Amino acid sequence: MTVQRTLVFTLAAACLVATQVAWSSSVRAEAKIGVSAAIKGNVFVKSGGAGNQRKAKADQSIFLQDEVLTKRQSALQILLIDQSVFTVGENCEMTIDRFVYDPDRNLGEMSGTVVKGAFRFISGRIGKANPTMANITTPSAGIGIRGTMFEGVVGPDALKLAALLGLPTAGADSEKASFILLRGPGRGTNALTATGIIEVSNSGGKTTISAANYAVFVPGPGQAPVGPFAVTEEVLSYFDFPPNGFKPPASSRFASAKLSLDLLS
Amino acid sequence: MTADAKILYLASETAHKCRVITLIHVRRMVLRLTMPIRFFIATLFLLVAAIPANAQDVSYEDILASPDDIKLSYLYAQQQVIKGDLEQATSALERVLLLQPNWDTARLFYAAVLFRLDDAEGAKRELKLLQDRPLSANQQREVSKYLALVTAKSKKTRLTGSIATGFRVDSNPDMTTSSSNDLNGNPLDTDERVDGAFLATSNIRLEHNLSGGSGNFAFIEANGNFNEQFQVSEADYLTGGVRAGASFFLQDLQLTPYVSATALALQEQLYRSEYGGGLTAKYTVDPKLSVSLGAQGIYQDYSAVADNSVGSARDGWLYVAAGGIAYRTSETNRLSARINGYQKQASNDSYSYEALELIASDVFLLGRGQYVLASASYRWQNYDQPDPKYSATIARKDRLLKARLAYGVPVDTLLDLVNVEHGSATSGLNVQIGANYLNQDSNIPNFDADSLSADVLFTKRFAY
Repeated sequence: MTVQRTLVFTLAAACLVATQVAWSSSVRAEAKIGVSAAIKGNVFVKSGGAGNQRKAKADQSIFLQDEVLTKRQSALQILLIDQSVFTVGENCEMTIDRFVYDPDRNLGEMSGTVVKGAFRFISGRIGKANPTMANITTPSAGIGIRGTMFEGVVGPDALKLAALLGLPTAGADSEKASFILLRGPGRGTNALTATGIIEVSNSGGKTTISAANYAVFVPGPGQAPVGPFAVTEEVLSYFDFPPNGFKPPASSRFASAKLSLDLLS
Repeated sequence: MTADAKILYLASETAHKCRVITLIHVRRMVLRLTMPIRFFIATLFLLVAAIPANAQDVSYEDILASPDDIKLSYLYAQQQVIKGDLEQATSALERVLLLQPNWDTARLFYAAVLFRLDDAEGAKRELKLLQDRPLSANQQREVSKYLALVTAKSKKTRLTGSIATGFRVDSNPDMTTSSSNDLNGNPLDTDERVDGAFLATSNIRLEHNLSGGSGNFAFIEANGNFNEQFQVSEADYLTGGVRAGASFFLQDLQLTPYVSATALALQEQLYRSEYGGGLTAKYTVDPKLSVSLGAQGIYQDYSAVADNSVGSARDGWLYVAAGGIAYRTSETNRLSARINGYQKQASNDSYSYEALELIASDVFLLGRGQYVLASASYRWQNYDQPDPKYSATIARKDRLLKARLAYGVPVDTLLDLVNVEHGSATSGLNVQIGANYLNQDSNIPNFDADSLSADVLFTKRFAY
């Protein structure tokens, strides 16, 4: 009898676990928002708590609220199902917090958070059809995306890039400062692509960048965005994804940005 | 069936059989038109049919299923460029280069796409990376070409321009009236003369970035237009103009104040000079929609006219107010509409007028640099007082309809079609063929006229 009870209890427990696993898989499958498309170096994805951290591989599903972590000299490109593209550079922590997409009507909403590190974002259908419904948040600013491609960095490198351009960095928060750069499409595009516009804001103020290769520096939470200002070739070379993936000659000016940043640190 | 009708038929067969019924109707209409217009339309159909979009379609779902397949991603990038979605092409090429950074062909393609997106600094970065790579002669030429373009584009002070030349055939270049008699019953000359003309236009523009703001710049530009008829010299003209101003960007608003001066010479004699200024404002409502407003005042001076009895009676200010809207329906199509209001205050009220003009245009990209441009305008123009030369009691009222359909293609695209290697001579060279219709309906019969014309223009753009 005891054996029978144990068997029944075990079967019941197994059924319960199986149901939970199936339900969990079902929920997670519904929350799939994209795939990891290209990976360089060491990239990890944390799902539902620290215990579920896994090393990212190409062609793996990315789920809502997965936290992406990249190590030094690493990069990851994520393709979201609305055709948005998130590329994260080295030492980055990024999460897609909200993603709702109706492919039939091209409607939806997307928001992500970058806690630290470098990233690049290219708008997909949500950002193009509903320009006010795509946002990226950093610790110091919110970035409203209105059909565009831009890149940014959060943390000490943001300060270094600002210093490289001669901007005042006194009083800036070295962990939460953000440097946001609009890449395009610029006003001189010869395609019918919409001109890129992003709005960078926090409680200290709001700034719009509408010209390609212009940037805004946000020294910290509540501190008004500085800019927009034109960036230099050195600043752009910082955002060369993947880092060290392509080896320019040592004499190349492209070595200079990384070198300058190292000297500043 | 005539030769051009055969071309049209063959082209339609090649393009899409499902459109045959429509094309039969089109062909019937075409066969009613004059020879130059028929030739233009036949050529247009042939070119569009001969340069189809990439037949192998890679969907985004295919990419999601195999995101690390770099060949598939490269094919997808090529396809998206043809479709006009350059941002998707950028992300696909970025992925390819993330996985295979030494693929020089992909990096060159990436640089070209960034250049087209006006990311000049980004394109320059990629091109400089390629400079020390073991490239083929053709690739090296492409790198040099794009590097020169992006270097010019990213300069604080930059010079751009274009030179165009070509020919036009016109059924009625001097707008000879189609009315047999004037208001008094006197016979009018209705002998329309078909004629060809040599055309040339040029434009040069100097821009300089202004400090502060988000891309503010000052500019000065000059342009000229030359039309030399083969026989109907009455329609010869030469225009030249200079415009200087600055563009300021305030959030989503672009403000451009300017001053301008132009001169028009007819039959090698100065006919009119103008000078004035204006302001345009463009507001970007969202990435698809923008609206614009403008106002300008121009003083028109006819005092130099030596052989015209009217002379400076036409002198006076012309005020223009304009409003417009541009809507991008897709990555390959943009519609725009504009309304212009005019008020001319001439020294003699017989030449003072009010006018209203509606203009609509659509540009459609076909891929590989090809485009179709369609535009039409209708203008109501009412003069304040009768012109005694034509009537003592009836003030002139004109209605002017203009329409143009044009197809443009880079010469390199055409050379690719016939597998001919091209070099720097054809780089940036475009050919455009166009057909025009103009109809003026007036209550003064002397001004009733219409014309059909077709033209071909070769345009070379440059930047320093």
